[in-house]
Amino acid sequence: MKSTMRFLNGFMFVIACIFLFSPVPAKAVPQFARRYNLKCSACHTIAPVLNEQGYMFKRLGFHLPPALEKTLAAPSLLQLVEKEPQWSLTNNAALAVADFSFSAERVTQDGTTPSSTSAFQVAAWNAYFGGWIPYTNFFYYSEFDITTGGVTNPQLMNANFGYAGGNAKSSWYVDGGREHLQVAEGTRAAEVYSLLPSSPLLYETTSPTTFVFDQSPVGIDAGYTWASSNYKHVFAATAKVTNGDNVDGSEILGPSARNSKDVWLDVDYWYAPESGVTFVDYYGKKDNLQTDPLGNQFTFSPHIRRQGVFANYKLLSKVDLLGGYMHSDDDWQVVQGGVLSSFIANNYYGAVDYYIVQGLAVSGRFDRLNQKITGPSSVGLQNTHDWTVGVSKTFTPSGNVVGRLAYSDLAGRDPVTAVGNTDKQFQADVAFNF
Amino acid sequence: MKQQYGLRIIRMIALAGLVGFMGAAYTYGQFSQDKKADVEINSKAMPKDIQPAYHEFMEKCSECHEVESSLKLNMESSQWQSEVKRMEAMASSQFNDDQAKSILKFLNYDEALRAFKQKPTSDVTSSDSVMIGRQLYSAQGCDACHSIEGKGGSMGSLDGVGTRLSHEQLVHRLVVPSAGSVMPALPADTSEVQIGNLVDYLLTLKGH
Repeated sequence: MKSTMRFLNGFMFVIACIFLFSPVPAKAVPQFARRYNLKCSACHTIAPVLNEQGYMFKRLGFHLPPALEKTLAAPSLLQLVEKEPQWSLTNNAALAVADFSFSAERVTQDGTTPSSTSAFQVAAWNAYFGGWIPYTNFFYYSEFDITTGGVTNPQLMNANFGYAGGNAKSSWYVDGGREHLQVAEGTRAAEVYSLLPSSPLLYETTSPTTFVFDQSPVGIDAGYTWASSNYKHVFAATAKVTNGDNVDGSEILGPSARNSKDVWLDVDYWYAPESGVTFVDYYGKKDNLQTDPLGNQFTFSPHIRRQGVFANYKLLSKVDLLGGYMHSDDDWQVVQGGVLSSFIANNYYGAVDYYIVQGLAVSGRFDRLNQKITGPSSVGLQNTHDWTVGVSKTFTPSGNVVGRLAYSDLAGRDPVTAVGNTDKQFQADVAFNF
Repeated sequence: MKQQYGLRIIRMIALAGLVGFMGAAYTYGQFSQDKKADVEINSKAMPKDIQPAYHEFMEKCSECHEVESSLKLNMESSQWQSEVKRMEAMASSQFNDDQAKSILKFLNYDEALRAFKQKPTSDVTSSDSVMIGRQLYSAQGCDACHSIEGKGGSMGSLDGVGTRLSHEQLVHRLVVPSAGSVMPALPADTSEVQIGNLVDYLLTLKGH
């Protein structure tokens, strides 16, 4: 009863928030959209999901991809730079990108008492500084997270600096610093961000090791992009070398005694309008903190590998069909100095986003993760699956205020202990992008 | 426990208010300096053949642009043509050649109508009136049914109408279409001056 009341109170609060903030008269958009006086939907289907133009914008060093007409030569990036509007703080900074959420969750695990929790929280409050150095091809990008998951803990999540060259049809860039794993986010199905609150399972799952694919390591990367006339075909490749993770899974941001590096490879192909394929490959080696069956902690250095292929096809500009597959193969050790086993996981998902009208979409996704440990300490195949449905709606003409409701139902078994667990979650959130 | 819960909600609302206020104040300064011309669009008053073009324009162009910024004033038809062609070649543009033509049709209509509305009545000379009348003729979609020098619809040629009908007769036909005529009435907001412009233009059609 009490939890029902809390749920209703929470729902009322979210609705109140929507009505409180939706009639914002200002045509407020974050800095990139402000720079060109465009709507958020110029680069996002619904923020934060990038479309092809948003993808190209990033790869051209934060310059709006120009028209590529068959009969005209593609402008160089230097020409794009010269046509940029005057540099100003407002078109290089976004101070209030915030997400307010209510979530209610019920978790069960074999042999334990089920638990229910609910929370109102500032799910995120970030400030972004990103743009170009006037009259040059240099670009920069940084993300300063003020509040994450209801906890105020200011930290610099991304800070990188790069240079882009070539022309709009054939361009390249080099970049260095701390940045998110996917330099250009891949094509639509490979994006970490979707219309739903969570990413595919293997992006977020730590596996028995403390490695998680969705991270923002420090490193350097280089990319090449080729686009045909009218952006009918876009081909892009990116290679990246970064610091690895600490034993606890956190990114190594400062000096480290470790001498191994992580290598990332990303190949994308876009087929207009808005369809594409992405291949992702990762290889790394990290120190990992492990606890043996007697409770003793030790450190070992597993090799970690990920390969994934993702694709989407957009029908009639309305229905986006998405799917992805990711394979992982990590070393696994049960006792110190023991024989290495392999932790194998295969994750596949299928999703549909239906854009009813501009700024309103319903989404559904089925995600399944099969995991097993082979070798001397083998554990049989365990699987986890997750159903998620949701609706996203923009509340301003520019699309900078987005509301979302989502429900997910996850059930599965732990790959090491084979213990069953479930997680049902409802989430409502309103994101403001100022 | 309840008190903590209440405090949490109050803190949330205060924080949300602060973010909203900062965002609004921050963006107001930016956009208030770049005020766009007021754009009024009355789609119901548009000729029937323009309405699908208008919806095409709204669906495709408003994906990226606010109406205020995409409907710029004083663009020649040829300029709009190259602009639409340029937009078609942008990343994420989701329209083809046929849709581009439709969008261009609406933009030309809107441009003619806007140009007319901008013109002060006192400055209108006889030749201006004829020119505006010609733009209105296109803007109202008269050529969907009528033809001039072989161009236009097949419902009736207007060649020589300036010889066959007087000023008063033309005004009468425009304002009170004949009984049983399929010709739609002019939009309700059409002014007397605009009707005069149309008539001035029609009176120049002296050919066969």
